[in-house]
Amino acid sequence: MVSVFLSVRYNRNAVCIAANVALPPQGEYIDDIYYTPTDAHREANELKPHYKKGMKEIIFIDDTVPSELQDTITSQELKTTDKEENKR
Amino acid sequence: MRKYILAIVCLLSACCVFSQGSHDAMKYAGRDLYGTARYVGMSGAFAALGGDPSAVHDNPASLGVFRSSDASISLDINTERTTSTSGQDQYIGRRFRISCGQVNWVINFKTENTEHGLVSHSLMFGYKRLKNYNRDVNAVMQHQNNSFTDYLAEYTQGLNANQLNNDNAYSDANVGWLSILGYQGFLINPDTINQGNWFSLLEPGEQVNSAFSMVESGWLDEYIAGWGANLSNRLYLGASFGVRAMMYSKSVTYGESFGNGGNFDLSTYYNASGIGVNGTFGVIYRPVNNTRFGLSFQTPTLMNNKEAFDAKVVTRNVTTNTVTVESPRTTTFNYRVTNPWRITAGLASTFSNVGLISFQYDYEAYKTMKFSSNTGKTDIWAYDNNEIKNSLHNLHTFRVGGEVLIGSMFAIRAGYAYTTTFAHSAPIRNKQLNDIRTDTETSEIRNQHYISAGFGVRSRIVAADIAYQCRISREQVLPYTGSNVFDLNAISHRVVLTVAIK
Repeated sequence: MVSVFLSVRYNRNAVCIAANVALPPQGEYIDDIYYTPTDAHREANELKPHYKKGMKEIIFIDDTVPSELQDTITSQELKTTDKEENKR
Repeated sequence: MRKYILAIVCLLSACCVFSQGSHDAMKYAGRDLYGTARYVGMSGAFAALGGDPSAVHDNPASLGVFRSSDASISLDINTERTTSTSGQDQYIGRRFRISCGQVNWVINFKTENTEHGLVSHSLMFGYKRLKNYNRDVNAVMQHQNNSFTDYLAEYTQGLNANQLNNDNAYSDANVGWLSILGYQGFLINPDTINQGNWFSLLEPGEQVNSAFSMVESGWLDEYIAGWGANLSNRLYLGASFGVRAMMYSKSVTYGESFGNGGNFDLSTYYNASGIGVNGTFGVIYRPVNNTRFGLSFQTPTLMNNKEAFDAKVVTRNVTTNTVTVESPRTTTFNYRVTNPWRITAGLASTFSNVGLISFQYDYEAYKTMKFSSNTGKTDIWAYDNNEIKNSLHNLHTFRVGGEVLIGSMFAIRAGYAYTTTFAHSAPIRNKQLNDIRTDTETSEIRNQHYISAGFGVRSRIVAADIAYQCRISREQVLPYTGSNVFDLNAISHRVVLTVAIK
């Protein structure tokens, strides 16, 4: 539901700036008056990414988006391969 | 004629007395239980709870509790019934009114923090009605031994007839307008032997039947800009700046029919308006999940008021024809009122999926109220300020409210509030001899009870609430100093409808 309020909202995994949009809280609805620090803690835990066993957290540096990083590596690898082939 | 009025106004502004006193002070200060239906349904016990736009007027830290933007509007349907009782006589006055109780807009800003530090903060721009002055009061008192004319004769002692019966009488700074109207309207006569002594036109022992009618209109509103922050979901801080606007008018008619024939009516029309500012600071702290405390302080509201009034006496005597005497209409008098500061404290417990209970206490320092000129000088107001200090109580208000949740969307509510009395004793109004105001009545509210209930539907996007409130107050009204006091019981029924979108 989009309403007419001017609001800046930080959403789950990424920063979501939504001008003119005020979104209600996500998840199960809890009235503001009944919202407790425990609810905040639970919601914070829900927001954290869950990794499969044995997998480690991936840290992206300089706000690089994974897809861009992969493309960069691929293109760099391709360029390197082309140069090596030319040398040969 | 214009020159004449202008001369009066110039002279009055320089040296006249137009007394205010505690009866006016009570009108300009205080507040009724207006707000959203949720707020009204729980009798306004929100100082520790927060999360409601109407609560921001009590405690700005309430803004910190908001987790999303919110806009709301309320419709008030109000009916007031007053019953005056004097001996065996009872008279009823009724007034019905539909108004907008509040409009608010909360803008919520979230940060990247969800648990610790500054989690969110909110701005609010809102309007809320604080008081509704509309009501009709009627009373009849029969077979009275006291007459207004006796009071008038006593009040006029020391003045001579020449002062009251010349073209410049209304511009004489030593003469009260009531004395002029009384003399020119044949209600009092001078003692021909002892100059300065006055007596009533009535014969000794002559009884009178009297009728009192007062129609009051107007409102006291507050516009607010506030800010509140949520720190770690435990500490909420807030501050607000409020602008108050007041409009008040009354039309009072007091009449007597004399036992030996003849009668008179004294009609006074008075209106006042003003605008003022205040600041409020508050905090809500939640030491454990389910319990929170609230505390706030509101600075005195500095109001610049202006007022105007006039009066008319119509006398129908058995020996003369009908005589009508009118005072000139004053233009505006400007002055400043310092309204009382207020401390609010609250305690609340919330239980997830069950409901909540909340308590609130307000302390308003009415004794600190004072009148002054627009430049801040209190010299000419010393008499009135002293009267306020001696005749008014500081005010205590106790509120309790609760909500029971039915499922995740519905809630039922109830609340009760009690406000202590303003007054020390029986109503009294002392007029200075050169007072140009001609209204003589005063009333003192003994105590007020508010009983409320409500129902609400809330979802993630929209909320709709309805509340009913019954206010019961008891007053004592004194038509003029020396007359019998009559009791006035007022019952107000109010239905509030609120719609909010998030």
